[in-house]
Amino acid sequence: MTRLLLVEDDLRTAAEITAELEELGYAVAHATDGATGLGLATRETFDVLVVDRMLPGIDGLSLIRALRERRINTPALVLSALGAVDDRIKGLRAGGDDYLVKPFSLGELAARLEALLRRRPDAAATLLRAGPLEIDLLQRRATCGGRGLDLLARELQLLEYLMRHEGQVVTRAMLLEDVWKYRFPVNTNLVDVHLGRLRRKLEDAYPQPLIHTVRGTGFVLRASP
Amino acid sequence: MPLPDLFRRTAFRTGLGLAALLSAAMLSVFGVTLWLGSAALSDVTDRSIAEQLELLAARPPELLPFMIESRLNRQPAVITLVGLYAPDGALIIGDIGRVPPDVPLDGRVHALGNPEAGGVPAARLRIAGRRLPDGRLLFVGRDVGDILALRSRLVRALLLGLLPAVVLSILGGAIFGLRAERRLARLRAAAERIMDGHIAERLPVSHRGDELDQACRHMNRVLDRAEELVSALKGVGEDIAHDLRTPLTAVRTGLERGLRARDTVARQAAMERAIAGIDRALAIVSALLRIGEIERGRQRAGFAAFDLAAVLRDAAEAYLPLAEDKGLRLSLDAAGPVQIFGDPALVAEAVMNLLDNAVKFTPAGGTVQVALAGAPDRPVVRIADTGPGIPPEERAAVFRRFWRGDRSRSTQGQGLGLNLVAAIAKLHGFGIRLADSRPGCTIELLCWPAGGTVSEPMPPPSAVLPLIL
Repeated sequence: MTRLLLVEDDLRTAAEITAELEELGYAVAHATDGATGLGLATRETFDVLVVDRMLPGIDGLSLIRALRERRINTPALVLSALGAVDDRIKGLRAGGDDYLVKPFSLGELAARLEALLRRRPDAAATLLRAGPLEIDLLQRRATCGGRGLDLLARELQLLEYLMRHEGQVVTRAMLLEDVWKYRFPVNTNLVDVHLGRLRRKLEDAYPQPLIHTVRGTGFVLRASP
Repeated sequence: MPLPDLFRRTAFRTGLGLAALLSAAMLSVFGVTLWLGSAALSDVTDRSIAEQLELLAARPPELLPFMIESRLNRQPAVITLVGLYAPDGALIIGDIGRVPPDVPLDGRVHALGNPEAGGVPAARLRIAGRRLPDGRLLFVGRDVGDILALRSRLVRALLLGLLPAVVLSILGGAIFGLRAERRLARLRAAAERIMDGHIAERLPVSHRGDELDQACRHMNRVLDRAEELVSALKGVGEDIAHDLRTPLTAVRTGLERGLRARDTVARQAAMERAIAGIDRALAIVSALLRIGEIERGRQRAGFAAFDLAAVLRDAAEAYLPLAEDKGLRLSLDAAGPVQIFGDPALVAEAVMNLLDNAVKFTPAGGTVQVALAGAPDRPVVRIADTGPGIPPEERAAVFRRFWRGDRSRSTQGQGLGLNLVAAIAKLHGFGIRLADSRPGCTIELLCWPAGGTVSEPMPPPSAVLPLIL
């Protein structure tokens, strides 16, 4: 069971998050202030942390810094209020952590936690495989069931991202942030349209649908039957 | 108004002070004139007395009594007094009488200390005397009563003249003071009305064009701006309420129907629609917060030099499939690199918003053009579409929060996109230009190049639209 520590002072939000995550199979421990959270995270072992930025006592970012100084590298997801997203928050993604701006959907939270938990498959590999799909990262060429795919640069990046997160739900926001590098609200139709085109090209090459839409959340690539 | 209160007023005190100053100035002019004038007059008198003494003394001694006599006879009413005395002090001839006591025999002119001499009050007598070589004593004097009388008449005349001058200057000062006082009172009244919330009220400006008028005119411009801001803000609350009510009402009715629905599928669909509605409402709230964040200028930390052409290429590439699906032609003309200075993410956000609007409002079959134009010292992002365009009278309003042209009310959108663009442009010191492209509309973002020294955004040029809020 995946052990998760939630540090959140708002009890209502905490209850919602806990209920949702327990339903998804997480074992959730909850602390309501920074000091308690830091103590818990230091004493016990967790797989992932969800930390509110604004906490009584030690704030979320300081808590994570304190943990890193103690060489505890549990991936963390920081919840930040809109209007408080600064460079330090944005820097979290570069450091292997992530952030989510309130208000967020529980689906988004779940998808991002899963992405944090799953180690990226071998970033140094030159060949990426998922079921019938294959990408030669050096040649920038993709094939599906042995047939070459005629993809635009962005479509190739999309496919690569989906393949690296195979079997995982990726949200529109995650795609916008990681594929397009747009870290601001964008008309999310954009993602659907690009993905639709990619999907049609895959369908032309392979009989079974590979990219599935998860209602209300995002998309998932299921390559293995 | 009670008197003490009147005296406390600056304007009135200024008037009185002016009058006092004027009077003092006149007094000093008169006083100095009088003093110098009478001194000059006494000088002349004294010199003539001394001269006549010397003149008489230089005459042959034996002729002297006769000359004095003829002089006395010739000018009986003369103001000059003469006295020749024997060495023992007996009067030989003259009209002074006894030897004037206390007058040194040094030939210089002295005021006579003795009460009477020759029937003239001593205070009015100036006299000089000397001993002649043969031992006789010679005195020459003069009655200066006429000079004294002239002086006192002058003093009286000056005092008489001073009185009306003082009264006039006090009067003038008071009128001046009261007029300034009345003008200030009008200003005060106007200011109070403005403070009471009559924001359209302005400070009175006279035709004099003096400093006070200039200050008032300046204040009025400040008030114009404030009024603009207030009226822009006034609508915002209602607009927010209205724009939130629409999705919330839909959510409510949707949930109500879902509650009554028997089968799970319908119920689930209702809930999904409800979530979508709530998301729309939340998007409005988020957009508002974000605009606030940008307007507070918090985001300048992310400023750097970056390639504007690449931003345009990415944005056009992102929107191409969407435009094609809508039956639009999307063209891109952005040769690069063109380095500008700013926050790349924010500039991209602005461009994406402009592009989103263009694609949203252009009907099928139309064209959206994205171009990087302008000179190297003023790169311009130009986004032109063949949509309905924006009527000239609405152009200033489009950057206001929640503006949405009437014809687009039905289109989904938060009505905050252009406001966000304006906020980003303002943060960067970029200009925004709106033009008709018949049909359709052209929006230009006038950027600044990344020139080594530019570390702060430059002020927006005056030729472009004023940027809202």
